Amino acid sequence: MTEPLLRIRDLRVDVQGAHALAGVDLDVAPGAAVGVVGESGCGKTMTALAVLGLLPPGGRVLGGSMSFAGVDLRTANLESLRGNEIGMVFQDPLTSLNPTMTIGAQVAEPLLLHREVSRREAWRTAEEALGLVGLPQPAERMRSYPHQLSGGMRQRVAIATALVCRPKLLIADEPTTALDVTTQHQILELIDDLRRQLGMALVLVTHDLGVVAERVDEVAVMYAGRVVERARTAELFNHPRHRYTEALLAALPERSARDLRAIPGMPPTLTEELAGCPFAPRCAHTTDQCRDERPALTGDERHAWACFHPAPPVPTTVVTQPVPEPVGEQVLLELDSVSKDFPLATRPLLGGLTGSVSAVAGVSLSIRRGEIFGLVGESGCGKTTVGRLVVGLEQPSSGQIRFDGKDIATLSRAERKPHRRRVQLVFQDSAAAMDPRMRVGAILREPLAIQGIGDRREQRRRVAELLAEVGLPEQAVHRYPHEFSGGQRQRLGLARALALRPDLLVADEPVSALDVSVQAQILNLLRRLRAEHALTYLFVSHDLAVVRHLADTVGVMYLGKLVEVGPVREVYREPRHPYTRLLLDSLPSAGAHRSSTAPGGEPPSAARPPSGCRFRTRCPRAEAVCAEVEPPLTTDGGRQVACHFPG
Amino acid sequence: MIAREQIARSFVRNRLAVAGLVVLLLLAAFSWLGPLLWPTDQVHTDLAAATLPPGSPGHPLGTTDLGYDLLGRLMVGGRSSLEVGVAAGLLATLVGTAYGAVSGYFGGWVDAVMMRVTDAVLAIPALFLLIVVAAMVTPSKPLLVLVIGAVAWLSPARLVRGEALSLRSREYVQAMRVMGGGSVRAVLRHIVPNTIGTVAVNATFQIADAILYVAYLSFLGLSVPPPATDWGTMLSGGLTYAQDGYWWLIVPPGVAIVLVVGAFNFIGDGLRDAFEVRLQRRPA
Repeated sequence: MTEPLLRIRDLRVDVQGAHALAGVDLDVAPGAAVGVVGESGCGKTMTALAVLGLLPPGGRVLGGSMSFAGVDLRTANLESLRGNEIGMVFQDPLTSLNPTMTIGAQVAEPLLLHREVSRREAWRTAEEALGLVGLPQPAERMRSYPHQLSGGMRQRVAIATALVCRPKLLIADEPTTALDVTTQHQILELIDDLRRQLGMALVLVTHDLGVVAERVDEVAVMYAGRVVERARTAELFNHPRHRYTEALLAALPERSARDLRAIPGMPPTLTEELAGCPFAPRCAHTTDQCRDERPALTGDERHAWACFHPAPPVPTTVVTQPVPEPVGEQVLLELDSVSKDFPLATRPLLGGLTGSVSAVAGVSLSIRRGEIFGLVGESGCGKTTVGRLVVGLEQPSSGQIRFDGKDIATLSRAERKPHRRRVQLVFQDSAAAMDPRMRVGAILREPLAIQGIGDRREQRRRVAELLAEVGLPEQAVHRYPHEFSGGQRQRLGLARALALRPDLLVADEPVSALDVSVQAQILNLLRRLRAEHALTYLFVSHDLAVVRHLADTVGVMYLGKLVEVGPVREVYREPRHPYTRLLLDSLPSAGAHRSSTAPGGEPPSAARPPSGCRFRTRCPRAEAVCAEVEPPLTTDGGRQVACHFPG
Repeated sequence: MIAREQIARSFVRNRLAVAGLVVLLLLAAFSWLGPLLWPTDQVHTDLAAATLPPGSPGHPLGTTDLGYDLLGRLMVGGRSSLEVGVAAGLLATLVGTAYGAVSGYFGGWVDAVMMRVTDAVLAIPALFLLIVVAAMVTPSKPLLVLVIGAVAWLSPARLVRGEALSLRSREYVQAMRVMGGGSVRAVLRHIVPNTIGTVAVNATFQIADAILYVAYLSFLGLSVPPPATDWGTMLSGGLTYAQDGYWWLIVPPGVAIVLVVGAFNFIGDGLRDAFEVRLQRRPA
């Protein structure tokens, strides 16, 4: 093996008393791509920041060594390396770009700092870099400000800034987490491409195993401030040895069958030094040795793991499709060409609207009793608004929403309150959806109190029942929401939604803020609750893998329109709308092979949708008729698609 | 809903706030219990014993221009100042909070109209309002409370309205609406309790301000009628003799006012921290 470009040995970092890194070993060869994966708080970002000398306040390097191209990073002048020899891309391009500087000035800045070049040369090189990252009309964009660009474009600019000095190493920290799935695909392709073109090494830090699956040569899995397993990518995904990696892969919705193998418990807090294996408390294979002794990284160059009882080197489970639950024929919820317009600017008192935007533009769908209907689409497509319309947080501008055969807009005041019991909402961020001043007991009792169900004693009993149902201890009633972890709060959110024994649960991205292992716990819980309470779900999500795992029927939205509806299995196997195909092709997936059709463009603004078919501006099959006639949603053998040229 | 012991615990952790509370209690004890230990005649003037300096026999802090014992007069004045200050501050806070919460929660044209009303009241200079009132009526304690309250409610109203505007779009308010809850519950259970930190802090500042207002008003001649008095009136009366070397007419009431205003401000800071549930540590 050649001398590594970046070499980290036993790196230990302390951040305000917490052992953020407890001995990290990592090598990156020149030109190689290494993925660093792990759940939140495992130290992956901290490793990147330590290399760059950008530890947060209160953070300091306690020990170990880091060298870059033979230079000791602990003593080197990092300012001359950062942005020069080592480029970096952060998660949120909106905060990593300066809103008061033009794009051109920001991309040229590293050149002026590190290279003896004139302003004119720097400007020209910056323009070249913008062309390289695929920004259309780079010359004009040089004078734009960050807010004038979309998220994907901003991330391209951030990458251009990182690359303009032709670094030997690019560190990308969750570069696509804030982006939509099709944009994510574009950015990952771009990074891949540039890496080969410029011959740089890449460290890709991410929580998403799918993102690294086919992008990097080698993957390092981190847990509790340590690298617990390191291997060639294919090797790791096919034959994980460390029990944590194995469990993590089994928790991925795209890889496993009906019930996900959730990892019990939470990652350890890093304030106390653990004697044994940090994963021991959550591991199914723990022995006394694991609790007393810390396993060292063993194995060879190709594959190393830190586990006393590694998984046998045989292939893990193959991808199987979940079998859908039997669904009744009775329609519970029906949307009939529902639209929702939002005014763009209003002036109260003076009146007068100045245009409006149709977040939802004529959506018709029906959900049968007992069904899980997954609604997917990119951000801004109107899927969340559909959910809010269904629970009554918004009123439709036109169209009808019928619940159990009754138009909910015509319900009288007296009918409305009992109707509320039957439709409940689970929020993405349960922390924001609970009054921070209320204890859990009061939060769970509130729906019962509003609906006047039972006296105080009965309500208390029901609260205890709900907590047990979602797997939380009874003593939780005395605590405040902020004292719980993200997964536990999501359980509380579910408990509250179930308090009124609803028929329909609208879940708006209920697992997208959670780590993979916790996400699996919640998905399993959702599945169990449906079976036990004969629930129907409208499951709104941007994550196609989660929807495939959980839903019976999937609806795909694009710019306020439903473009395809059908049984999950059929739609995923054989998408008929070109947009569905684009989404599925963009889906990063751990293990499964992916065709590499590079999708183009970004969704246009919903305020001025294209004429005819709204997708035509990005569609490879678009013809003249698409600009003139809007394709209606037509039914064909149990599947619906809105396209002139369905596949 | 909020555990009182926990709030008390984190309040006690703030040393300045505790100091403020102690000072306030001492001043209250001085004003109400003091006359039992140091009875003086605060009704009849005694011009023969006017403007005696501190340390004179029987008058440790001296006497006023009308011959009242100054120590005893501070006690009597403290009662009026604290009574009017606390009552006016609480009145302004209550009215302002209710007004602001309703305005912010409903938003739209309700908010627009209600806030234009506060703008209109704010546009009238408080001084002008007070002079008019002073010219028209004979002052009394309840009247002082009303006048000060009428001027002071605007600031909590605007503060709470701003908070309510952001609170009403919080997801927990939406969650409550999905459960079928109405506006009354939203305002009483979710909006107002979540502004309690701001309101409590503002209330203490309002009380401190009201005590100063009583002092301003006495300069305009709108103070409690003699022989009753308050610290503000004593201060403005003493200033008449500022050139004559009677410093003891100015310094004691001045110090008393500074102490009480400072005490309320420290208590306000302590309350703000104490009401922040998320900062509280759970005893192990």
